[in-house]
Amino acid sequence: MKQLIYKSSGFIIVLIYFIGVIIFGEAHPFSKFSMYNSFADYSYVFYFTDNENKMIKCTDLNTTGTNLAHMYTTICEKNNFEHGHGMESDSVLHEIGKQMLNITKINNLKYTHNNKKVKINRMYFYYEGKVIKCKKQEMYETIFK
Amino acid sequence: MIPFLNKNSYSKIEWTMMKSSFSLIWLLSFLLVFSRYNYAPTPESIFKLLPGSFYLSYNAKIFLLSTNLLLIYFYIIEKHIWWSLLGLSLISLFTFSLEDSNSDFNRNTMITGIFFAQFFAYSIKKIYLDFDTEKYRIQFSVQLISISYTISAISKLNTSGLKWITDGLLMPLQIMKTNYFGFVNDGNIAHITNARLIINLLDKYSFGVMFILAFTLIIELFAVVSIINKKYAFVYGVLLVFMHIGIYLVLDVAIGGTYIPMLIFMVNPVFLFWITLKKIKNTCMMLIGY
Repeated sequence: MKQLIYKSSGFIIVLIYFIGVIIFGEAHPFSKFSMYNSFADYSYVFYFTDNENKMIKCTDLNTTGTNLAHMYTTICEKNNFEHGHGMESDSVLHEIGKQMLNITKINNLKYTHNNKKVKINRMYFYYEGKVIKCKKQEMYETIFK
Repeated sequence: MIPFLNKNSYSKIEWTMMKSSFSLIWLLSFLLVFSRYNYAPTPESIFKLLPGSFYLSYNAKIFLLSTNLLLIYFYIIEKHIWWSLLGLSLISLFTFSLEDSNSDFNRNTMITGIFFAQFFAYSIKKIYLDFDTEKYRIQFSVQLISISYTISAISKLNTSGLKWITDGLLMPLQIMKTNYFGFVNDGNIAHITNARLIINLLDKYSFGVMFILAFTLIIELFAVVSIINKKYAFVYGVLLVFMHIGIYLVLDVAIGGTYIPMLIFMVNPVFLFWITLKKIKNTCMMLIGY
């Protein structure tokens, strides 16, 4: 056993981690590091606005644009919503937006947007010919309290 | 040329600087996660094993912070290091699982992984007293970092194949996305100006884009060669730093949980800074005749 450990010590963690990723997939501390493993021909960006339609910075709501995008994908996958390429119907977007705002809200109870209206919106970027187009859609609005 | 690279072992000062800077990064990440999250609304990793809903109270946070500070102290002064690393590994696993459970995937895999890898080295030492922990507590960390990059390349090849390189021509959409992420975070219009600038540049040099992507894929795929020895780890670390700078300039993306541990354990910038200062001091002493 000692000989085996000593002989494999130069690569043992490589082996353990690789096997761990195969078995557990995306479960911390294992990861396939799948970010940017493909370049989709569309992209989504999510943002907040207030009752005057002015943008609320994500940092004001204790989150980030990246976090919202991950949240969107997680919610779609957990609810088996087909997503991507702007295919989501208004009702699906409404439901996802509702869940996204609920998650944002529970970690923000003590923050400055108490009793204020917060709306979550989506920007959908896609190609039309060689030109990048952007479609903005409202998803859901709620009052933070 | 750089004498400390010629040895395949690590000095005590190198190790001290690595673990001090790593502890600092870990503590900052810990504070960031705990200041943000109290719940696990989208359970991931160990939170999938919890039966009910989860809430992290203020008192529990204070307890975890105190324990964490104590364990970091023991880790740095190297007392009860086996227990310290076990504790740090578990707290790190808990912390970043909580982060993931808020759909905040900051890819802090390496931080937890490095604590576990070092814990593994000390566990072998507990059984076999002649095991070279001075070398392997760092070499195991390098192994974990390098395999992570290689897995990232395998994931690209597995999902997109070699088309990943030509698909890079769709990158302007990702550039828009990542720069807009910056804009919705802080409201700074400079992110959007930057996106337009980069997209125009890429449009002119599409062959160059494919070349850079191919280069990135090769660097990532062969990152595992860093485990050969200390010199390989350093040279590869520098290559990876350039790759991350490129990603930051083009995509406005900097994944701290990935590049900072790599920088600490493969390049060790604090140590480099320290030996540079020492060299400058010695030169000055010589010049003034001491």
